[in-house]
Amino acid sequence: MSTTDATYGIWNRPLKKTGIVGFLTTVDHKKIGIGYAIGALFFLLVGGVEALIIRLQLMVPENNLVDARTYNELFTMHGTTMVFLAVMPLSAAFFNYIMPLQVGARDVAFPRLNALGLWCFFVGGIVVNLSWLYQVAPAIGWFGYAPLTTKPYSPDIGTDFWIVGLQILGIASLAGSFNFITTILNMRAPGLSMMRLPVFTWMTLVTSFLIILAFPPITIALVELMFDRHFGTHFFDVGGGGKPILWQHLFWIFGHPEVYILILPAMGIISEVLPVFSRKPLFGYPLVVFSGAVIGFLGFAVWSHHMFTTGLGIVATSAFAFLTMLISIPTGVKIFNWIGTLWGGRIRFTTPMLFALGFIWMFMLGGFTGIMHSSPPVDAQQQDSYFVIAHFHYVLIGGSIFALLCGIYYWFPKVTGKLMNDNIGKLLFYTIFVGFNLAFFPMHILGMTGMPRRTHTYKAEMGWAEPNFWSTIGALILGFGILFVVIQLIYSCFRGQPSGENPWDARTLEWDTSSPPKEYNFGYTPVIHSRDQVWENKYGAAEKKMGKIAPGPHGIHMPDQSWWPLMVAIGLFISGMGVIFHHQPMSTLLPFLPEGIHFHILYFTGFGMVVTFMSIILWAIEGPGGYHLHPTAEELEGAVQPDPQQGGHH
Amino acid sequence: MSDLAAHADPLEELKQTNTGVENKKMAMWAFLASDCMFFGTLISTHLIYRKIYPTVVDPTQIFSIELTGFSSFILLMSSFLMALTVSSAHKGNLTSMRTFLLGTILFGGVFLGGQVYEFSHFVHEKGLTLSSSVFGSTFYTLTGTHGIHVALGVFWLAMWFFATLPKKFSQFTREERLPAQLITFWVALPVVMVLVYFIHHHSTAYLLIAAGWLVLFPVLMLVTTPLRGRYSHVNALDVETAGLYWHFVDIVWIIIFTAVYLVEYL
Amino acid sequence: MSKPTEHPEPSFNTHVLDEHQKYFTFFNVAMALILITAIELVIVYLPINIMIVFCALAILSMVKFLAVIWWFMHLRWDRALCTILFMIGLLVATGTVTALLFMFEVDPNGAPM
Repeated sequence: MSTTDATYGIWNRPLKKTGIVGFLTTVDHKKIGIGYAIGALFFLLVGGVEALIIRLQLMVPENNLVDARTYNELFTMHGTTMVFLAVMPLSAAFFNYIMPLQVGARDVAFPRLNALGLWCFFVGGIVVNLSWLYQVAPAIGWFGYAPLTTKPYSPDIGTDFWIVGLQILGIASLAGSFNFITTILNMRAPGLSMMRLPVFTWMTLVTSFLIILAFPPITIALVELMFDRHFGTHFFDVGGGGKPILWQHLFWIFGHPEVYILILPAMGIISEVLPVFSRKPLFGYPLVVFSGAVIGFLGFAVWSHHMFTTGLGIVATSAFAFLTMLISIPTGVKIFNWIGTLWGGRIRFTTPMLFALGFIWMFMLGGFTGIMHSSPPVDAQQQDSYFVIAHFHYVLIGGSIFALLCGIYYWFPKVTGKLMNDNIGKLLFYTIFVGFNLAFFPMHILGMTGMPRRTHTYKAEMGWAEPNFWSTIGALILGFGILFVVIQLIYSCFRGQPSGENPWDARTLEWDTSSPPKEYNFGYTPVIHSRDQVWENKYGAAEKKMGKIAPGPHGIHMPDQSWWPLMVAIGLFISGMGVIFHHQPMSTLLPFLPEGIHFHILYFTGFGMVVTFMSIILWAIEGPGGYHLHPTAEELEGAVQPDPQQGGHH
Repeated sequence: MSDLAAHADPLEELKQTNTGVENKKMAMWAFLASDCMFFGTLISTHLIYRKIYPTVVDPTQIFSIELTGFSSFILLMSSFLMALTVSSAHKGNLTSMRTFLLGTILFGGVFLGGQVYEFSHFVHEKGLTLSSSVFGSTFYTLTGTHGIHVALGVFWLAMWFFATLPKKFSQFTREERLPAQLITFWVALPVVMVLVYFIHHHSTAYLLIAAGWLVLFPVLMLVTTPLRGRYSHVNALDVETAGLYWHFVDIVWIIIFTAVYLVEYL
Repeated sequence: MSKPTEHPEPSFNTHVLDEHQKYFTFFNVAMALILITAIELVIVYLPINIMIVFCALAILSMVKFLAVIWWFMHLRWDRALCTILFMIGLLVATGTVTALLFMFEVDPNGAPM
């Protein structure tokens, strides 16, 4: 059945599919997706604990639970963790797991590159969080404004951990995105035209474009910052003629598309869930897709609205304000289309549906405060106040996190073949909903009454004590809600009731295959005839039902596993550590070593680069490999044999 | 690059794509789109500081436009040779493909050599370093990043060149013109270096490079043994993909040459 | 592996013929590129109005840029999708660079060093 016993290149390929080796060498997009999800949920809890410590510190006036330095470290790491290590990878988990199923592909276009993304994500997350272990967590805020990040103001290596960690995470996102773009454009099942793609897949495509265009600027900005800190360049160093404002520009050229990278996958998930539980097709599908693309495109033209108070000049400020306001149009279009989907539908209030409805409401609240910020004079009042904190937590928790939790509840049966208890799910939704609003609504008022963000503590006579107290209570409720979601998730993996193939009566292609899907996703090649194919298979007209083409006599081609993606990531980790500890005594890195050995950058970076390069070369020599699998006869029921005249199309 | 001929190219079915553009090529175009932002950021960093401090340095006192003009010419020519390489690869003409590929690599190497010379000249004679001024910081970072792109390209193309060679050394003489190509490539660089030594500048560095290359090339031939014999007609796509990258490096240089060098002479 | 068999290959290979044609195209493009580079190198020294030279340089390098992507990078012969993919990146990058350059002004205090 397979030809894997052959040796390719100069190394034996790993063949074991199970156990630790099976996971470390996997190229299966489903296992990689689960890997992303495990990492992301872990970091979500870590970031949540950091947030709760922040909230406990602010619970009462003049508190001293943590000192000011630790407080700065906490909010920096909270922001960095949540953006780069929780929300983005959780979206990536869905991209990896769901998108290839939705397009009817066997795997992504470059399976080994996909694995590299996963390992770089883990390595990046470890590097950023290693700073806690060395007790030098970065205290620079998640957007690391210069000149605070330059050597004179942040002499410790915390900032270097942050720079290198983000750099490696950037590689992870980029590797994934090139893969997703190619997969979506090139590997759709026959008949699955672009305008029949599920909206989640569309949003994966738009998000991938945002990532490939937004990450290069931050990569360069981080390189420049690293050079400033290690090699005496003057990019952001005021004494040498550098302009710290340039960092702000480069950061937000990345940073604004980044917030759409966080929200567009969420919008995609919502656009999948609402039609399923309203039992209606998505209202205005082309408009939802188009407005998603417009949001993505406009995302590159609004970065300076984060910098209105820096004095950009009248023309720039007006232009960016105008473009920012423009974004509310496609966003509004989406919201009206979602409401149109609900309208007249036979709505089922399951847990995913509750999260989806919660998303619409909460995201709108965050969106309204966003429109307020788009006006420069209003923004000048609210800049750096708790009002801004309220705004972006409404769009990131009420928006992204709600939608991602919605996606977890919705696709959990697909991934595991088990059900999550719906009553417990609903209870947790209401807990999270109440906790979230209690935590963040008071922040609007706090911001309006002048409480600045990133403040370690405050005086009692400022009158901020009561809202802060309730906000902390809310944060605790929210935190426990999310913790219990994770516990329920783990519990259901083992003890959940069997779900069957399609427990929600869902509409898109991923629900056509078994739950959990086989290694090769689909035993047959699906031939698509309509947008909501699985729904049409069940209820639609005969000519809209899906066709099935059996694989040819050679079976289904599967890519071989590989060690090299992991090895490349390890090489990057080693060279990253070399950069971080550059100029430090060796005993900083390994405390048991004697003092006095100075750490040269080449010790580790050179070695790590050699590991990386050798792994890439061996990766290339090894080739994609491959073996064949044959689906069982019952899987192929109703499938026609491939037409030999068609050049062996699967 | 795989020797999977054993089971009748199972990847054949994966090559059929919805758009008619092969996966690798599409990923490369997406990567190049991304790289536009990469170099866009670097170029704007450089130009912004030139705009902020118009008089802090006079780059015409530092630059040597003759050398840079020559480098640009070399890189354009290597791009031309690359286009011919891809064309020969699609024709299946291995002999001319090797010639053009060697030419591309050689010209890429000459460009890199020119850049190394330029950098060392700027550092030692003009006192322009990474940390001497913000101009130095932006200039070296921008052109250095481009140089790293060129170096990676040379490396990548070289891997493909070695892959086109026969598996065993004894088969080399059976290939049309191959020994002549290899010897020319081996000797060309040392000859140029020795000429430069006598004509331009009596620096032992040139002689060391010549001697180094004479030793290094046979070593390269040996260590790349696992690569040899791996090229077959299906890999024309890989060469084309590498070629796209190479041309992109060239167009970035077209922009840099104008925006960083030429406009300073106005 | 299973190629269509009912259309036998034509007696001459049109594909190879196309590639022969391309050789001459590539050669012409390369000559044009060198010529333009030479012109660029000369006009910066000519005593003409700076703005005219500047515009000429911008246009000439854009022509070079487009020639390389259009002919050497095969966009002329490839699917439009490749052009679209690349243009997305190029347009966003151009817009960003332009906007950035407009937002910085000459430092009135001069250089610090």
